[in-house]
Amino acid sequence: MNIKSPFVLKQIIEHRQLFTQLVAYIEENDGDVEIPSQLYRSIVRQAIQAEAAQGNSRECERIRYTLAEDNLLRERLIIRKDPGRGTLVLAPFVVDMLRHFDVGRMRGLSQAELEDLRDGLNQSLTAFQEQSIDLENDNVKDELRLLRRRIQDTLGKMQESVAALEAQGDHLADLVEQQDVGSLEGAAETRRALEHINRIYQRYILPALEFLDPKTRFKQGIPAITAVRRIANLAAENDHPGLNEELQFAANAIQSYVKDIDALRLALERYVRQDRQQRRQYDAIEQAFNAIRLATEERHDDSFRNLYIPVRHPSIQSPGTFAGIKRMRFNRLEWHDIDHRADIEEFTDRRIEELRAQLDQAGSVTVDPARAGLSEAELREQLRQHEIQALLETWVIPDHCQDLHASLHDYLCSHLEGYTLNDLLEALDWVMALPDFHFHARFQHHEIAHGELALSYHPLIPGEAHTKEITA
Amino acid sequence: MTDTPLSHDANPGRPVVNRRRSQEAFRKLTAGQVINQTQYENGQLVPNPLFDELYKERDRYYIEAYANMGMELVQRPGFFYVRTLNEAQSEDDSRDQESSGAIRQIQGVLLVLGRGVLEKGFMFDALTHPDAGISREILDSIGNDPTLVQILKACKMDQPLPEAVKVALVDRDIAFFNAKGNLVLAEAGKAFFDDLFTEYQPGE
Repeated sequence: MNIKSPFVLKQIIEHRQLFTQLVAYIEENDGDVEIPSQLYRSIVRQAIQAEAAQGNSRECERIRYTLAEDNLLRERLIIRKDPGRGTLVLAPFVVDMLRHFDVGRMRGLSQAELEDLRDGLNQSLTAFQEQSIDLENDNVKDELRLLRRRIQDTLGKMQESVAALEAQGDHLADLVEQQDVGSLEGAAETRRALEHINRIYQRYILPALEFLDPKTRFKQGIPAITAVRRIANLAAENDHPGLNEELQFAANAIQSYVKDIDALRLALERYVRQDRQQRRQYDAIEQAFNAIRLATEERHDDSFRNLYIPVRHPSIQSPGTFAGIKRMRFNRLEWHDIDHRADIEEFTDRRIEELRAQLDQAGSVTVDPARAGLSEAELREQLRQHEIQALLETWVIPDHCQDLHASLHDYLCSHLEGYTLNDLLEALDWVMALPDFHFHARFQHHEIAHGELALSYHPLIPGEAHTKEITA
Repeated sequence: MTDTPLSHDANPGRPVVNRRRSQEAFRKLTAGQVINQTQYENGQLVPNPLFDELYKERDRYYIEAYANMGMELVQRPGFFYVRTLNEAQSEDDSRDQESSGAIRQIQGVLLVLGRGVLEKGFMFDALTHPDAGISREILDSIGNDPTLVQILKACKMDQPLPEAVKVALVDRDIAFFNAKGNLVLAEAGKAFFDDLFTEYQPGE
């Protein structure tokens, strides 16, 4: 049964997810177009199984007839079949079509492919330079047809290349961004993706930019766009304004890919730099590490002296980030081994003896009234402080206290006999000296009047010290 | 320290010093620790108030205050530390093995760590990302390499790598352990490697 090519292509397109395996095979084998017949048959079988799973037995039959190798050969979709070696060669446009469906697997144009395109356009230029452009001349017609084919080829391939590079770049960039740098697998995956990006950048992006730049100097020939423009100029000189315009537009169209490729270059450059930076980091650490390793080996001689790398060694002093860092030592005040306790005891013993002797001799001991008064005042003050501290030990700061002075004032007023504002200040000192006590001052001004005195202050709010500093 | 406000032509105005932070910073710096720009708190990096305090009044107050005590307050990208101000004192101190050997320990451990992490196949970022870090198991496995052990010993670090890392880096705030218990470099640790990368000349 002979089934026409449109129906065959329709089946291939419908099962394109399976047929892109053929492109994968070609790519994996460096562009080898001879595909094992077995691979083709297995793809057809998969397509039949997929339909069978949905219960379309008629469709299974149809696929079997439509995609039969002999049918494809008759319809020139397979251009060669070698049963002896078990291989077949698909028509180039079928492979190109499958590539089109598999943008992720498409490659950019390599240096060799770009060179081939440029070479073709240069050949066209030479051909037109050798003869005047007479559109009635069959040779010129053939050359023109070839030129148009070459321009179309260049445009088509550039477009495919941009799409392929974009898809691959996006995929790899996602891989890099989403990896967990803390895991080994993530690190390996990221490193692979970065290397791949670097390869794309070096192998496809840079040559493409070079190809599209009209200023690039090549060993042989001129840039592709310049070649097309020169042919256009020749057409203008030979009085073919229509052809001139057509070719100028074609040259512009090719050149317009500079924007796309440059956008790709900018997008990938960050990752290329990251890859380069990683290698540089590795090398820098390796270099410093080798220096310290050499220093280690130098110092380990048989005598076991100089066991440690000297601090002044370059491997320790470079890069000098922590030059001079150390724990500072402060000399303690020397008390010359005086035992102060023994001194006080000795003084007290002697003084008591003196006073006893004085009492025995004079019958009484005189005490300096000014000093005695002072001591009594100090004693009273100390007792008052103890009293306040004892009260505060049982006091809890009220919840949501907005004014520490007022709270303490109220508490002390009701609990401390003979309370004065001095006592409030003493109590505040005591509370604020507590190690875990935090507070902040509010920007307000309050006043407490008690007895004949008044205290003006900024209210203190306990418990929020981490946000504000003490400023009262 | 003087009660007279320090004035500087380039930085007029009276310095506003937070005494509590100033004292804490002094205690840390003189204990051989660094003060980083950020600190790890509750699983994230937050600004370090001690760094802010030093940075805020660095020129108007702290540089001179430390100089008056014979110390140089050194600011590097992302962190502060102190060292002896004058050379003569530094010479004296160089005989003090314990304190001047700090740089040898720090540098030795950082290099062993950096090299070990890359050798294990990790990216350098694993050392600096606060959520990533290097686990104790990996530190143990890096520390098993006899060459690295030898280098640590030559830097006067006899402990296994995880302990050496704690003594030389974590106790000095050059690195910290994150919520997972993994070791991460603080700004000071990063600055060391940044200096190394900047200084690196390929082909040397």
